[in-house]
This record gives sequence, C-alpha cells and structure tokens, in this order.
Amino acid sequence: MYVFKPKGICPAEIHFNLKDNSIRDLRMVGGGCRGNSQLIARLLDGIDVDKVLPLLHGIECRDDTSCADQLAKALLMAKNGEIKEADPITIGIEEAGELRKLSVIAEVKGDLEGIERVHALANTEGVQVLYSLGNLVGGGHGDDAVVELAAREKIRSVKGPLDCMIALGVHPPMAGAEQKAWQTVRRTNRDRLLLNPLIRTFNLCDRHGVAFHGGFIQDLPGFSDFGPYAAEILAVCNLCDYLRDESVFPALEAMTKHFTANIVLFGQTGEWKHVRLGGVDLISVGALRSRGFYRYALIEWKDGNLDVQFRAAPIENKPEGARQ
Amino acid sequence: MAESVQVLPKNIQEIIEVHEWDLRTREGIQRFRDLKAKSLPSIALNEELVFEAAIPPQEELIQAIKERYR
Repeated sequence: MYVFKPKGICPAEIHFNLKDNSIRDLRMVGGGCRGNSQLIARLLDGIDVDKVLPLLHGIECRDDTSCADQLAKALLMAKNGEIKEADPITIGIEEAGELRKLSVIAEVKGDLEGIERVHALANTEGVQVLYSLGNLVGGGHGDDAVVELAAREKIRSVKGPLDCMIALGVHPPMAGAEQKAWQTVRRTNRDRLLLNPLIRTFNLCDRHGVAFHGGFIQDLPGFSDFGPYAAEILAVCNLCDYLRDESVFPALEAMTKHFTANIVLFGQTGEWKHVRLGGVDLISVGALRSRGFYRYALIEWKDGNLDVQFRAAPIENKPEGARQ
Repeated sequence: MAESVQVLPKNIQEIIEVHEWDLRTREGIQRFRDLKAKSLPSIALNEELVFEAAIPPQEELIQAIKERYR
C-alpha cells in the first residue's frame, strides 16, 4: 500500500495500491467529502494510471490544488518510485479465550536470566500470558537463547527498534566497545523476530487492550495516522510524551473517545507508570532489569476492576551490570 | 469548534483566516504542543493561545479578534 501525505486539501492522507499499473483500494483518509471520495475510488478502481493522470492533474478546488490534483501527484510519485510501497503495520490479534491475568515486560535485551526469572515468577502467580513490549534482543550473547525461550514459552512479543534492526541484520548505532561485543543472531531467530508483529491486541475479560513498543512505529512507511490503534499510539507517544507531560492530560482524556482499546500498554521510556483517564488504563512498562531488580507488571481483572501492580524481584548473586 | 467560527458575522469572517487542527494527526498534535495548549477545544489567535477548554461566547471571540486586528 502507498500512503501519501497531500498538501492543501481536506484529507490528511491518500492510500492506494498499484497493480499492473492500475489503481486499487483508493481511499481519501482523515477528512474531505466522504461521498465524493468514495465515488472517485469506485470510478478509478482498476483503471490504468496513465489513462487517468491527464484527467486528474491541475484540477483546482482551493489553494491551487484539489483532491484530484493531489491524487495525480501521488500516482505519479508512486509510478516514478519517489514514494515507496509500504508494508502494512502488522497487528497480532490474541486468540479467543478467557484471559484474566497477564504479565508484561519490556527491554529484555538478551537477558536470559532475567526473562527466565520473571517467566517463572509469573507462572507461580497464575499468569496466563506474558507480553514483551519490544527489544527482546540487544546485540549481546543471550539474544539467541532469549528468542528461543520466547518462542518455546509462547511469550507474546511485539517488535521494538532493536528487534527490527537485528532481525534485518543491521547494526544499531553504538559505542566502540559495544560494537566489538556485537553478536549476530542466528537466521532462524532473526526470522522469529521479524515475524513478531508491531502491535498486539488482547482481551482481558471485557476490556480490550493494545500493546506496542513506542514511537518508532510512526516512522515506518506503512504507518497511517488513521490506521488501527493509531489514535492510541499518537496520543501516548506525541501528545503526552509517554505520560510524562501531565499538563496535557485534559487533552489526552478528551482524545480517549477516539481509542479502540481501553487498556494501552507501551514501553520505550524505561519508566513505570499507570494512569487511568477517560475509562482507559494507560500503562508505561519500564525495563526488565533496572537498579538491581528484575521488574515486571502484573495486570489482572479482579472483582470488576483492573488491578495493575508493578513488581520487582532482586537480582541474586550478581552485581548490576554482570550480564551474560 | 469550527462551527463557532463559521457563524461569525461576515465582517469578522473577512478579516480572519481559519485553520483547524486535528489532534488525531501528528501535524495537529505538533501544532497543539507548539502553542503549549493543554485542553480541548483551544483557539489561538495570531499564534497566541487565547481560549482553552471551552468555546467562548460569540461576543467574547469577536472582541478578542478585534483587539488583534489593528
């Protein structure tokens, strides 16, 4: 799918596919005349780009342009390879089933001991599913073992920026010493990382949840401001700076009416925070390992309420920094 | 919000240019943050945040516009 950001018209985005030089799945998104844009989409479906370009180009509505004119620009750019066809943002949908208690970690970064410990603790607490909110790997020795454990134990992982880079065999920017210690992840495990979705959804009793790492998703070419769960991602990452800017909470609360989910889990900042606004639980999940503890969140539907606890287990017998 | 601007008298409409920002878009959020707004709806006049969290009565809005149109 191509996502084009037009200028000077009501819709914020134009989405379309090109198949054998023909237009498919055209949508004007985020504003404009709904009826007219549906008509245009129907009329142009399956039509050769070269036939319609002269018809669309140069039509004026306001500010010397129009939806048709901007569509002509988008089609021409796509044809000339000036905008890239993007992979859709992948969403992992939780299978049906009664989920009452889950646990969440983030930034595992190849810490096998840490993930094993939290997984065991979560099991003893009756947790049904463990979620990992990105950066399962970090370029260290433990990466392969962590990815294998996550696959074996069916840990629901979403991709973080490090997972994406490592899955694609790209070195993230790092200092010289880290560069020397860099470990390549086995191909099978790179494929496993690649197959993890960017966003996961789940149902905790009658509450609908969404989990993602953070703002890097917005920089991917397939991201649309009007795509599934985009309202949650933009509100968390851009509007309130991952819950750090409490001054905008009135606006954040107002925006929750556009959310699909009423539990929003995210990582990225390394900070732990839980805020309930407009009937939505927004939960920032910090790093697995910090200040001498392994940390995780425990989320349970209990007595008609969502109970959120942040747990910490002391790291035993190993000083901070003595990672495998 | 846009409706409150659309119903302004013609003589006021003629001296203003209206931009509406959608907080469901990255561009809209950036604008909201640039203006240091906190609540919805918000109205800025000449880059200055003037009304927040409520749609002002028409007289108040007209007064605020006139004060800045000199």
